[in-house]
Amino acid sequence: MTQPKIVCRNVWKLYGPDPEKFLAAHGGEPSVEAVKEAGYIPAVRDASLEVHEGEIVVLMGLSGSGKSTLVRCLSRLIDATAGHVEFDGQDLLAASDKELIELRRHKMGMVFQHFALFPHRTVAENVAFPLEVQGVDRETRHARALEIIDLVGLHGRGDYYPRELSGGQQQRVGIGRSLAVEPDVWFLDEPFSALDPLIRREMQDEFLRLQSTLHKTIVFITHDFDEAIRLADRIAIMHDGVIEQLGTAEELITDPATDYVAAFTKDVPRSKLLRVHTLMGPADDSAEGEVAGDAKVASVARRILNAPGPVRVVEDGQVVGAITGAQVAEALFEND
Amino acid sequence: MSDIEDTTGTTVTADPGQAPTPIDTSDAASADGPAERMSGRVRAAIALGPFLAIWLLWWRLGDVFLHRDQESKVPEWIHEVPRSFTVDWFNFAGRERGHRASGWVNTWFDHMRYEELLDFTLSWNAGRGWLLPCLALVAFAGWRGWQRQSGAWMALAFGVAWLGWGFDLFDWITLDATPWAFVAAAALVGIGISRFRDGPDFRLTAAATAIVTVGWVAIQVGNQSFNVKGLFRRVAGWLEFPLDLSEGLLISGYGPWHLPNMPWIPIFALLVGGSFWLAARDRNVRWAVIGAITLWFAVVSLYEPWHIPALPWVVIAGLFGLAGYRLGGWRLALLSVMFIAYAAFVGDPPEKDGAQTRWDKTMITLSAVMVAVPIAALIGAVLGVWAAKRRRVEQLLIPVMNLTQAMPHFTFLIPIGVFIGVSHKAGVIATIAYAVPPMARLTILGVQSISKEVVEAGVMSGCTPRQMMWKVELPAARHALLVGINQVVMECLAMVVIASFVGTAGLGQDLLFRLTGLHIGAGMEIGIAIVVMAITLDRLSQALGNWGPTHHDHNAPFHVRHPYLVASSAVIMGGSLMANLWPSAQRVPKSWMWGHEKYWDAIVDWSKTNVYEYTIAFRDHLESWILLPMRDAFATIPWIAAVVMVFTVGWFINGRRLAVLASSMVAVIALTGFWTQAMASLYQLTFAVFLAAILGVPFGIWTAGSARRNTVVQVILDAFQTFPSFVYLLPAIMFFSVSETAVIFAVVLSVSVPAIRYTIFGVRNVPDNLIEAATMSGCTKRQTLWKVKVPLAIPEIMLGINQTIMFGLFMVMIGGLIKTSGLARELIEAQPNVDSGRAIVGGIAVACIGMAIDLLISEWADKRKKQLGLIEA
Repeated sequence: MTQPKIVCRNVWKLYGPDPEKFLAAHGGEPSVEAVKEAGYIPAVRDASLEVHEGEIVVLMGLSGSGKSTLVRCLSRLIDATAGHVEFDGQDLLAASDKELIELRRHKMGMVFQHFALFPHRTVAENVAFPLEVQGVDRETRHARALEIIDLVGLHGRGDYYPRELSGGQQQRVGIGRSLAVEPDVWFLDEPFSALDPLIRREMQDEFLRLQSTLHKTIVFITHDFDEAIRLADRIAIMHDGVIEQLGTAEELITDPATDYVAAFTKDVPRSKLLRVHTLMGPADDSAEGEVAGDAKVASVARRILNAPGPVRVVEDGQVVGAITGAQVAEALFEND
Repeated sequence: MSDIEDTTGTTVTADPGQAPTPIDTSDAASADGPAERMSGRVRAAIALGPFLAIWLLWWRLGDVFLHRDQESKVPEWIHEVPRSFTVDWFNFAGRERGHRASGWVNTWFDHMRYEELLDFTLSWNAGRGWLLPCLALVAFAGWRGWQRQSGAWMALAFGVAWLGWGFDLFDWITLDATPWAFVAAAALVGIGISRFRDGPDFRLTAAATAIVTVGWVAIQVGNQSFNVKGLFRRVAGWLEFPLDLSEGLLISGYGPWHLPNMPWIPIFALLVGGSFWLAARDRNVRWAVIGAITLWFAVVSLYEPWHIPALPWVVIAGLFGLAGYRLGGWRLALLSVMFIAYAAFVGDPPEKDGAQTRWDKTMITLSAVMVAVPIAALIGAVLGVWAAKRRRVEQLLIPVMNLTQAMPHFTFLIPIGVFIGVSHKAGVIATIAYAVPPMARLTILGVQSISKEVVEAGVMSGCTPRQMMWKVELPAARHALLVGINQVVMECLAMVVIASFVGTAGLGQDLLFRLTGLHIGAGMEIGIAIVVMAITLDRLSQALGNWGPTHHDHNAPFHVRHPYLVASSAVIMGGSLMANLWPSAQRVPKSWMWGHEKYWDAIVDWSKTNVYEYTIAFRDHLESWILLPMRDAFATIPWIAAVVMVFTVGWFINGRRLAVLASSMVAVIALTGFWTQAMASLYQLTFAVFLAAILGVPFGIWTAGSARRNTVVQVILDAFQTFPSFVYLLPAIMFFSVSETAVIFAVVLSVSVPAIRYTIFGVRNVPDNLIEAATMSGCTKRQTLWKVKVPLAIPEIMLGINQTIMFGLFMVMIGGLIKTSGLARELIEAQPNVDSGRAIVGGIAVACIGMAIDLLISEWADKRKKQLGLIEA
């Protein structure tokens, strides 16, 4: 396996007076009670995470759970109190200001919840901004900006000012700006949370479309579990600054590590997430018809329910098991 | 607080039916904060009791026993800090002739004025004044750098040594070091430091540091030094360039100079054509502007060679109109053109040929504003950004700005006059000094309120700190910066008259002469000119703040994308052509001017025979029955009593910190030796503010009752707020001649605006749901007003009173221009005597009054708002 793009080990972020000293005094691992008693605010506690190339990791949690803080520790917008962050094998916490600027200019892009567009610049100037600060000449960066503007679907809006655009369009500009330098790693901090539900859906599709051509390494923050399920390869659920569990959506549902994760995922429509091979029983000779093992249950539920008996489950041309209507029904209606 | 004070307090305000005080007082004295369960009356008794007791005791007993019986040992210092204590600190040249200033403020200034700073610091500092600490710094930084092999420390040592050497070197080789030499030196040092800090070769830095240190010490041993006054004058000399530039543009023109004999027409044609062609090809505005300027240059210098005239008045009017239209539609355009028209046409033409007309004076003032505003805004913005970024700098800057903003305008004038000399540019510098703090404040506010995400977006785009500042932070804080510029404009206009004390020419000087000569008619005319100018510039700069960019189609023709550029070029070219054809388009001919001062004089004359009788009678009654007794009463307030009272009040409002802070400010006033004068000013202030509040607050409540009244009153208030404060002196003199009453009348006029405005704001900003709740509880309109709105508005009203007091304090000082008394007298008499010590110390006394009151009221309002839940705790 190749080296992970981002490695984050035992990262702590405490707010309060001289937090390093406090951490050291508690051997680097104070309990929650000790932290709160001493008057510190534990934004991130002992978080460890690896992000591999081309992977979408979604940080998921309610507001105040530390997900934004963690992503800012990963991009070193804020300095972690303790721990270790590696970016492409380079120790990020030891990087000098110059190295950081270089990294951000070429390898990182970030999209913000409230768009964070520069109000005094046109769309094109906003998109070209990261190139401008690198010193790319005007012609080149303008051409590149127009390309990006087309890519994010804002053709012809280059001369508009941000306040002349709708929220969804503004976020397209934000996305465009973060892509202008072709970064390796893309941080998205609740990029669609400030948008209307319909627009949000549309932007998620847009995001998936972009990712299918760009194949970036992505850290995506959201508080919306549906969004996480749609987009994520892996999901990290955060609570009170701790990563409660990190795994695929299916793992979170079938095998929640803590009560919190279980409660969190309780209302998720399981049939849309679970694959047939998770539910199936042993192969049954009486089974008729066949479904793919890695198909989502919801997508084949009708066929299985309509079948007179069990249905064969096939993977790679091999029969691996059988699934019955009762099993499907249980998954479909479990929440009721 | 001792027990005796408590008991006297309760006996003096003996009030049957009061809660038992002794128990609670002991509690309040011992507890770390105010005892919350004390009732308001008890607290008032505790706060006022000792004060009244000491005061009455002093007033009655001191009067009887002390003054008549010189042998008495009753300590006079209860009333005033004895001179023997204040003399050594802040002694000032007294009013008696021949009394030479001896306090250290004056001594210090005199040395800086007349003698070599170094010689002075030598004797003053027992040793080589600056040299020793500087060398110590060099030695320490060098040692630290050597020990840690740290380029940064070594660079610091290098920088300090180089600066010292550089300054001395310039002086030593008696290069007539222009200011630019110092700038170059500073820039070199700056570059050197940044190079050496990150530089790879540590040994090089160390060697360079050693060389400059040795060089510096060598020169110092030769006992050369530089003169502070000379340095200041050189720095001030820089202002001449922009002032010449702007005055040339507006009135005097440039030249004459000789264009060498060359085929100018084809050259200009090439230059203009070339830049316009480039502009058209690259769609580049900059080239278009260059082309337009060259064209203007060509047109004027070809029509009238060797001399570029000032912009004709028609062009200035047109440009103001365009700017007004661009920023605020035709109303603002009309206002701007009216301003220019008033300046051009109103005012009797001078009898002598070549004397300055009203137009010239207006343009001088306008050019001073045009120079002062950008400089003050730039300095303020840089300071503000710096403070917004570094907490230390902010902590240092805010108290300094609090002090300077609380000082009356006059205080700045004398030190500036001393160092720079009485001249037009000295006044401009005073104006700049006065306008910087508000800009810095708004910049801090603006930069700190930029959305955190925008800053992060900048960082994630890979901005260096410098790019962050220029490309992200300053543009994103644009709105606050533009509001700051509006403030700067207003401060500049407030200073135009006052700065003429140190020689600023223009409208202000004119008004000052007329005021001191009691020419009311001419004064009114000039006053109106200043007011119109103030309103116009205020509205223009305000509109600038609300203006946001809009996109244009990229492919649209040039004149569609840049309509105002094209229009203003057209105005400039057309106007210049017109001016060449008709001289009256260049300068307004005398026959077109019309003065209305005679009507004002007629009104004054008429009122002298008809109205004066009544106003003067009113004035005399007011003075003999109210003002003079009040003044005498205030004059007898003992400083100890005041300190005790402020301490107690501060304690009740917000605990020990506020108590100590506020009462120590009162103590500082006493220690300046200006206690009686301060009380005389305080009496004027108290009476005027009382009157303004009595009139303004009910009016504000009445206005807030209806939306229509509110809109009308807001328009009037907006206009009144832009009036420079000295303008209010004119009607005051008209009605009450030169008297205390006139001063108080002017103060009341000028400070009613904030009282009314804050009251309206407070009443109208009561949360809607509370009013709905009151309505649904069955309140009548009147009940809603008195039971809900007014109680909730009281903190805001108190803030209005606070503003009233601050404005009033300044106005009382400005009122000194017509009738001097108290601190105003000290400040104004210090001007012709060039008595720096007196002006500065007087200014500090005024600032202390203002800051103490401001602290008490604003902390009270803050606390009250939190209690009412109007702001978050």
